[in-house]
Amino acid sequence: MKNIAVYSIIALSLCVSCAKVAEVTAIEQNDSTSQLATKAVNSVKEASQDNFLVKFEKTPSSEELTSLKGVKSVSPLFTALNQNEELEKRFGLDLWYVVELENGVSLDAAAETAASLSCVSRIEFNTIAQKPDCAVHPVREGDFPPTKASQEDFKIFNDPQFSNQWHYINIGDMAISKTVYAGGDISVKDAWANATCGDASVIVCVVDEGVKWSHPDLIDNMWTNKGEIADNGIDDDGNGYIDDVHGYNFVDRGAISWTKKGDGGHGTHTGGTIGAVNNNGIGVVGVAGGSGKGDGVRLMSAQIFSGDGGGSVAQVANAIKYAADNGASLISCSFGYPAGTFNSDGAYRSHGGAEYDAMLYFNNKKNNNAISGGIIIYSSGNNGAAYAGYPGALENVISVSALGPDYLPTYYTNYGPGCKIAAPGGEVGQPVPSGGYSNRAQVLSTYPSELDPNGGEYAYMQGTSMACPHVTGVAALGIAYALKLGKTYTVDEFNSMIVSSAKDIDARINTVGSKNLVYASGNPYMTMKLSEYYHNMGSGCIDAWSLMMKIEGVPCSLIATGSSQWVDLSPYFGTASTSLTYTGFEMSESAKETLGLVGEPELKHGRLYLHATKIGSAKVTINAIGGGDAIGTETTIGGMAISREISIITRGFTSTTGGWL
Amino acid sequence: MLCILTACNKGGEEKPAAGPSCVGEWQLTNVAVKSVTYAGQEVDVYVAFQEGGSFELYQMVGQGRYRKYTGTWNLDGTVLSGKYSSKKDWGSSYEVSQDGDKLVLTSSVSGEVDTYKKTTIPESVKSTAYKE
Repeated sequence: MKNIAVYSIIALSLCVSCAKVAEVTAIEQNDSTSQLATKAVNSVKEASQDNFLVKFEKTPSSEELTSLKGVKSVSPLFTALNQNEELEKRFGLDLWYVVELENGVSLDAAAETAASLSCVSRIEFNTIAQKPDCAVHPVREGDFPPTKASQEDFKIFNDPQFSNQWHYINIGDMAISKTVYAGGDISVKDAWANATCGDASVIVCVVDEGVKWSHPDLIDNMWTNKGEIADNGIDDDGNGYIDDVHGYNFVDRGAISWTKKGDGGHGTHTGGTIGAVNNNGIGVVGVAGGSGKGDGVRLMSAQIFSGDGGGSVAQVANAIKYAADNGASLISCSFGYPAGTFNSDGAYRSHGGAEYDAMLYFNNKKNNNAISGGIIIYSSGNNGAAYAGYPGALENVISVSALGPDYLPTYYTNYGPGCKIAAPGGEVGQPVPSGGYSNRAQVLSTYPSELDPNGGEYAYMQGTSMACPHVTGVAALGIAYALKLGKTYTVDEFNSMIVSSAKDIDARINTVGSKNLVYASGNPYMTMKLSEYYHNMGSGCIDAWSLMMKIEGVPCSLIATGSSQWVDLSPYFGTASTSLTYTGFEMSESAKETLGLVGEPELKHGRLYLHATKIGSAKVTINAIGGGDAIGTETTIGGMAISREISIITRGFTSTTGGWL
Repeated sequence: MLCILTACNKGGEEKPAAGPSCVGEWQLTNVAVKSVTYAGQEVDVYVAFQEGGSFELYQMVGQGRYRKYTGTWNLDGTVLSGKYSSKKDWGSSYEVSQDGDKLVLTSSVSGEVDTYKKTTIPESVKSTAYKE
């Protein structure tokens, strides 16, 4: 058995350096029958040599802690908070410890000793992340002045580079791509106009490189820890972190940074997609960036990469718990293990250890009045593989695959089992009429000016990393709207609504058949056959307006009595409902009796067929799979179980339009 | 009878003193077929029959935003029928009766009796409705 122990930030472009994202490090598992082999959930390779993590069977005694040999210190992995003690214990966070080794002590030997103790249940080596070099394409204000033709479409906000964000409103501008597809976007315009632009009480944590919180297009939407005084070296609010005003740097254990050698502006870019300040007369728009009246969602930066370092299991796990403890309702995670590292949910869970426990903790930490816990969104990965990378591939996690401005799968995106939904991620290489390609086919967002010799504060980047925050932003809008309407949901219900708020991609995939990409010179780069992506891009492309409509409530389906009728499931499961995999339905016997059903209802061709003889109303719960044909299990990789309750009214007649008359 | 037909189809002409006239804005107040009502689900329907023969229908069935439908209507004697703007016929034609501010439509298909009262459709319904 092989374990992979490489984290990768994912934001590649059509260049050799970014192709390295797909590199994986295969590590031979220790074949010994030692206690270490039994209790270790991962491998010592690619891990810190100075420390490792242990999970105790129960709260360790001081004698048990001192029984560990060759150690400099043993301390709790997670920062405990009194107010969250019950939740911490429920998910075993209080049982995780970091063991720091004395100089010269062998990691293997120390871990072997720890594993031999009966009070130790698991050993987890503190895997160190690696991240690739990623090309970015910075731009400055005014580099791409909007055209008059596009002003009308983008008039809702006055941000000057908004019209270059085709990923929000795709008007079919061929200057971006010859194969651009009008409407190939996240359908957020109507959501902004008719539902919400955000809510300052909704906190989104960007688990990534540091977000440049002082960016002029971000600062007003940054989460601010009101209990903390900046730069005084004191943990003023007692949350376990010093000077964490806008978040925390878990790598360097201090101030958030974005200008170290090796930083790529990745966190600033993904953060901007979620919540760049809207309608402020500068730069770009964020999906949930507000209307310009201080109502954008708030961005928290949990920095797990810094320069060329970071990304250890301990850092990621602590970042996720920090998000939960400090009010975040969503985490946006544009990183993960390369596809193929794990082949089933069970394999990841047995490996994931502290990180997985922290995710469960986040899932169960209620931080707003609309949802029972936190929503977790990951990128699916850029390996071009026919399955998603973990942790995004987990059954209870939303992972996002990437589309180009042509509303087709991108060359780099992972697809297939484990991919729950898709969103624009951009794609370099789509030919333009003038020859070559345009960088504008990528995703435009905020960028640290310090990283651009010309001081550009915005940049084009591409990747499932960029697709992920689109879904996060839409989910944040959904929470904002639910709060506005006073609606409440469980995490499972909200996840189901997100994954079922999707537009069909398959019809276009089927129609187009293949696509061509070119080098900057215009010479052919590759031809993609699209058939393998058919039915493999999750439930379709995220549709913000569809999510808002679901939050408002889907109207009852009107069904005529007297003959077999079908219920259109697209209002509940999106326009890809006819190709979704359904696992069944639940309808009580009393509901069947109320409608006087003849025979059993039947799910086929993405529709619910039933034959009612009585006038009345009833509810039916439809179960389906978001992404793939099967749900991820202990032994398989797969999709997310989603379910939607539909309401039916039967009448003596109906119109085919759904109108009452 | 001729006068009734004229009154409902063409604007500007004198309306009859008696007989049904559907012109105006109405809100559904009751749905009944053989004593069955949709008490379990909130059904809110407004319809505006305009003098030029067009209509606007705003409905909220169960939950969610009001949906707006448009089309044309015709009153032939006491029989009301119509088409949606998609050219699809209504699900039923109706026998119309009117009693002051009350308009009663009885489905010719099922016998369902829909009772409407004269109203002014709230601007909040019109402005937020989602057009089907």
